[in-house]
Amino acid sequence: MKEWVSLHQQHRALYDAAGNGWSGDVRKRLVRLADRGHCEASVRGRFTPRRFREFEAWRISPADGSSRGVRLLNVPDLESASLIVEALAQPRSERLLKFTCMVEGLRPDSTTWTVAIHLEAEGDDRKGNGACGHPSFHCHVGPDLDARPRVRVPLPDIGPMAALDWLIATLVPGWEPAPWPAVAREVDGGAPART
Amino acid sequence: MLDLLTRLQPHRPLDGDEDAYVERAEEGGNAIAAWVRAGRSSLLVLGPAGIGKSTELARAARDLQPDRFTCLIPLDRFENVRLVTPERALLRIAALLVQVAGQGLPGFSPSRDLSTAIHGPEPGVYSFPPPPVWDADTALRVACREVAGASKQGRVCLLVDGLEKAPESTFWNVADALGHIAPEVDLIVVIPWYVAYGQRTGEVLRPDEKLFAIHPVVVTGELGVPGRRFLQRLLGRHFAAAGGIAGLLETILDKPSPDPGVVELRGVFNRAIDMSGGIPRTYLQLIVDATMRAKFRSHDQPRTDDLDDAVADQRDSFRRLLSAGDEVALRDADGTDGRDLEWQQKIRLLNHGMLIESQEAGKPVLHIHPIIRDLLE
Amino acid sequence: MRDPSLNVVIALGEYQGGVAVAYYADPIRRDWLLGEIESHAPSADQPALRTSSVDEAIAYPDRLVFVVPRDEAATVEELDALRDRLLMPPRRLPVVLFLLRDGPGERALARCPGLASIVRGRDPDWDLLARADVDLERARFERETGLSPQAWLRKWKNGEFPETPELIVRSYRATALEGE
Repeated sequence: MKEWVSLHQQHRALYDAAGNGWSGDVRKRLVRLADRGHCEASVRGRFTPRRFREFEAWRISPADGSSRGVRLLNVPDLESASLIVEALAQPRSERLLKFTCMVEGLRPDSTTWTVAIHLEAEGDDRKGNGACGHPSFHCHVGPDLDARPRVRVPLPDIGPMAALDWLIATLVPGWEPAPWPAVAREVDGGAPART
Repeated sequence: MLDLLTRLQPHRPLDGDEDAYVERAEEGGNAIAAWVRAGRSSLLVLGPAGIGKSTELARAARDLQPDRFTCLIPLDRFENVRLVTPERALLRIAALLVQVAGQGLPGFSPSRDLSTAIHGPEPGVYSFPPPPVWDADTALRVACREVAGASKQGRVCLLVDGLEKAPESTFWNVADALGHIAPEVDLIVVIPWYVAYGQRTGEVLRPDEKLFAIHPVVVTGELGVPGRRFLQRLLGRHFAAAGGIAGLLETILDKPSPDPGVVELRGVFNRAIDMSGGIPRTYLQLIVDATMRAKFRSHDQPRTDDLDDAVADQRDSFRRLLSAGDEVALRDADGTDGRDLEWQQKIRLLNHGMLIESQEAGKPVLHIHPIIRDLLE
Repeated sequence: MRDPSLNVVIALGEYQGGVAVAYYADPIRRDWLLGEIESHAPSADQPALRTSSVDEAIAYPDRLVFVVPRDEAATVEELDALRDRLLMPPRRLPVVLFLLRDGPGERALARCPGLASIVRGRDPDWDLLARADVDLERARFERETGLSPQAWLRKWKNGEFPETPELIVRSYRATALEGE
């Protein structure tokens, strides 16, 4: 059990670690995606908050009121896809209270495919039966979020931005925040990495 | 079309040439030129920010070119007019005149004395007779004489823009110096509002000088038809300047069409005119900002809600400019000639275009800008 | 409906008079806002140049420049006096002047009609634009769900709703409203 307790503690530290700079970090990724032709250019002005006194609810506002998030373009393995990013933050305490990023897509055979990363709400992060079956920071992959069996892959404490990078890297060719040569320089002091 | 409309440049004056310029029904560059050509002396131009003073000056310069050697001097493009000394301002005017003459008059080069007065002596060069010690006043006077002498027109007309932003003391000093050379040159100077409405008005306005106010164009009622047409044509010219097809917008806006898209677009443009208060810059800003919103909302053209948001942004900006007591003053001044307004407050409200002055039956009448009216309601 | 991010994009828009204003509530928010506004710039661009000098801002017409004044009123007056140099040559990216809401720079702008007219509509106050009309949002939530945010959230936490993207988003709204 101690591994799961430890993981849960690491997950809980993520709420504090985000600070307030995470929203700019999300937008930078969206702008970079747009600049590389993987989503609509209008995304630059669409990741935006609504403020409810102490809370801010963030989302990518729909361009035309009909779709959710932003449409992803030139994603080789999906016919169509949308990226959704939602978050709840408390700027005063510099805490990120909830975070979701997900892609809903259609495969070439017209079946649905979803990948979603959830950082559960702070204070409400003990869902399900325990830290193994329902970790506070997890990832779903499947036809949709409700399909059985409901898979929640535990994520390490890489934080929401790195997780968003992972999600994008899964779909967008060339999106690699940690290329092996750079990793090798860090890890091996310059020795070539195994491929 | 969306991309082109977002590339309009509301802050940049149009050139005075035929392709770009749109003539006003009155109070335009041609009227300025007519006054100067009639042999009068200085013309002092004023108007609220964004009204098109620089554009009309450029037009007047072009119109006067056959009779005068005209030199447009955007002083604020070269000097910090808030800090510039009167001497430096005059030397800058002289330097620009000489520079323009050097480019426009074949074979012109200033005398060594004038060059030295403007740029200082060339280090290490001995010359005889020694260069005279001139004040800036004199240097400008000589510059005007040399250029007039070298030009086929034989007379210089200086059109000075930007001085209206100078602090009062600087303005008066430069205005005095320009006044001294006035008999030899024609002067058209953009002046601050306090000259027209302030306590020293009599000092700057000599008997042969004329105040020339450029007012917002009238856009309401039957009298507003030419003004609305002016703004639509202006939009068309800016559209063409941004790379659009010349005449396209005018055609869309003029030609009756049952197409709901065209009807809506025309409605948006017309409402932008209503909300502009007849100030060209405001009109163009509203169109650009509404179009940018349309673009980001995946609308194929600016819609009414896009324009409403652009108006709301301007309303916020205006709100920040209001000081204590402005609200009451605005309401009280609405529909009057403004004589009961405290003069500094009046100048500020006119300068920002929060109060719009128009001529009704030959008399000045003040009205609240439509966006401010919105705000007060 | 207006929102802060789109207003920032409009303020940074390519045609502009070369200058925009960003209002902030306090220095802590300003420091955050610097990064937030910068994140709207194209990814290939150099980082924004941060300075308190108007001359330095003018010297770099191809860069996004953030002017954080030491003396707000003096900087506003200087920019007003030099604004034509921001227009010619046309800047590729604007100068963004950071001013304290209701501060000395805002008051100085009232004395500078030229600059004020250029930044009109291009002077977002992020926090004010982000502010939601809570009553309206609550009424909309109740109309959409037939439940108060609190009641809906209780059911959500009890697992009574499926975990669809729409409902996840709704849970965020409910949490924000519940905190009111």
